[in-house]
Amino acid sequence: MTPALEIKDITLAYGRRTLLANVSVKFTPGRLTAILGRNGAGKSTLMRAISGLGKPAAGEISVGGRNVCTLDSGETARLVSFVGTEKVRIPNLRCEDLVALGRAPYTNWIGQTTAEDREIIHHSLRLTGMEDYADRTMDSMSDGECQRIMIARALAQDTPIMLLDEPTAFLDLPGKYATVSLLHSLAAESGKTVLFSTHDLDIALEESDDILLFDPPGVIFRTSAEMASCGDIGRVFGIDKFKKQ
Amino acid sequence: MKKLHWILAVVLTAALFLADILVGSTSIPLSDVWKSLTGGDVSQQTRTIVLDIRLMKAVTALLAGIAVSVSGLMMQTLFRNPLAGPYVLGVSSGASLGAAVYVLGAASSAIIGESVFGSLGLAGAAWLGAAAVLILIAFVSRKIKDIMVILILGMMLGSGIDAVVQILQFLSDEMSLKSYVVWTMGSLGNVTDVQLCFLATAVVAGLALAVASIKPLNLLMLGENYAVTMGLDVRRSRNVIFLSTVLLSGTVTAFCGPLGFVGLAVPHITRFITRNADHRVLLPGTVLCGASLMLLCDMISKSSTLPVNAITSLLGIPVIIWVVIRNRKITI
Repeated sequence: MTPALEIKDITLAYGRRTLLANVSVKFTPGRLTAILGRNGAGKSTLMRAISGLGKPAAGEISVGGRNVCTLDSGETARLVSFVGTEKVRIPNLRCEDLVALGRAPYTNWIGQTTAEDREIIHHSLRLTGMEDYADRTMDSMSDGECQRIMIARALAQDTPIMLLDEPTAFLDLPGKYATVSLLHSLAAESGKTVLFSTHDLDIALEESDDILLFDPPGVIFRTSAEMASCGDIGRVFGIDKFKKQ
Repeated sequence: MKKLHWILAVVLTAALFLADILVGSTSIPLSDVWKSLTGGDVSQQTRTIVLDIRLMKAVTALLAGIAVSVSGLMMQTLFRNPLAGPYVLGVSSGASLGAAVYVLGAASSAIIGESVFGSLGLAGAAWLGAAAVLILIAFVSRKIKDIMVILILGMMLGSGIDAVVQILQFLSDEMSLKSYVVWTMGSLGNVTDVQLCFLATAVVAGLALAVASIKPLNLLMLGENYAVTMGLDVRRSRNVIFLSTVLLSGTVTAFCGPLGFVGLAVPHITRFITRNADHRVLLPGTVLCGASLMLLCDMISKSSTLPVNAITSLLGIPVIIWVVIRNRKITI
């Protein structure tokens, strides 16, 4: 059984501003959840807290019963992997070597990969459809291709929880659909809990299983089908198209 | 890089090392140099020149080249900035302040003569200055998460210290001013055997820390956020890298003066030659490349009798310009 992610009664603050107050959500393994909300609502802050980059002002984030807030970065890295918004283009770095960095929580002091590590790295490249890019370097690749390599790196980290902060932001429309449907199949096939934040409401509603909608200072957590019909998205974003008919 | 390339690189470095011993103001035939090194039958004078002057200088050049290049590589990766070098944190400014206080302040008080203690004092003062700056930076980095802020603070601190050094220069007498200026020009030849022991120990310790930082450096290429989510204790790694830098570039600067641009240029030359970004390749590559370049600079400096700092800058600057033009679109 894959460890489940649960946020219990957490309060998130950015500086002195409270973003979320006493929020609890339990995520189901094997499902893709889109995190929606206005700019500055706290989507990234929540992801940073879950991935150990920041701490919630109060409450607990638990993965399989272990509180992420009390673990060191090495332990958290075996539970949660993260793909951020930062563009990574390192000259001379082969894609395969970049994906191999995802094995860091398991490799020795100098980062030597074992046969098992290499098998996982190639599997990750295969799952993201990037096996032909193993020898390429990222300075000659498109944004969408780089995004897939970063996702492959997170996959190689072999964690029950995977977080992606706005993975569709720089992509064209086919690229957005391809990325989100890739995440959906990864969640379904590997049993991982996959969370991604996005501003692409249509794609989120069509392609993901669940939606976590930021409605400060609370959240609304529903399946995509329920969310599409309840009108809350229209209310939070003030868009008529998504309001209840 | 294949095994053969590594062997060639080691052979080239060794050849430059021997060539550096051959070059000097008096011409000594290769056979006599070899005899002096292996303990054969040569005149006492030749032996003294080869062993006490040239060998010492060549070893110093080797260590200095390795030290500033490796710390330059670490700074470029840590700050994810191709124009970072061993001195971005203000290490050379700190060393300059130490040297300036010693030469311009203490020397005039006539406590320090020409003794061994006196010459160790200049390097010691410079080293203390470098270490003080680094302790300050390490303290600040405990409070500040953003590495770019630390970079800016390091540069500002360096500029501030340089201003203090200028004031000291302005207030000092002619003689002390000259000995300070000579220190800033850099020299590989003023290192005594006691000092060389210090230098070698510090460089070996600094290199050991650098080797221990290979995996952290590879993770830090992706930025500190990614490094943390891949399990790196960033603060600890940062401090190890800072300590390694003060041991490497701080010590070399203290004994040999600020060796401009080698530490900035060599990592780029190594990246170009190896076509690799993995520090398991870049670190040994930088060691060999840094040693070779510094030995080459020393040979040019000896045959032209110009200060080595001028040579390293003249050789380093074209490399940096080339890097900037080539990397217009991408950062490391």
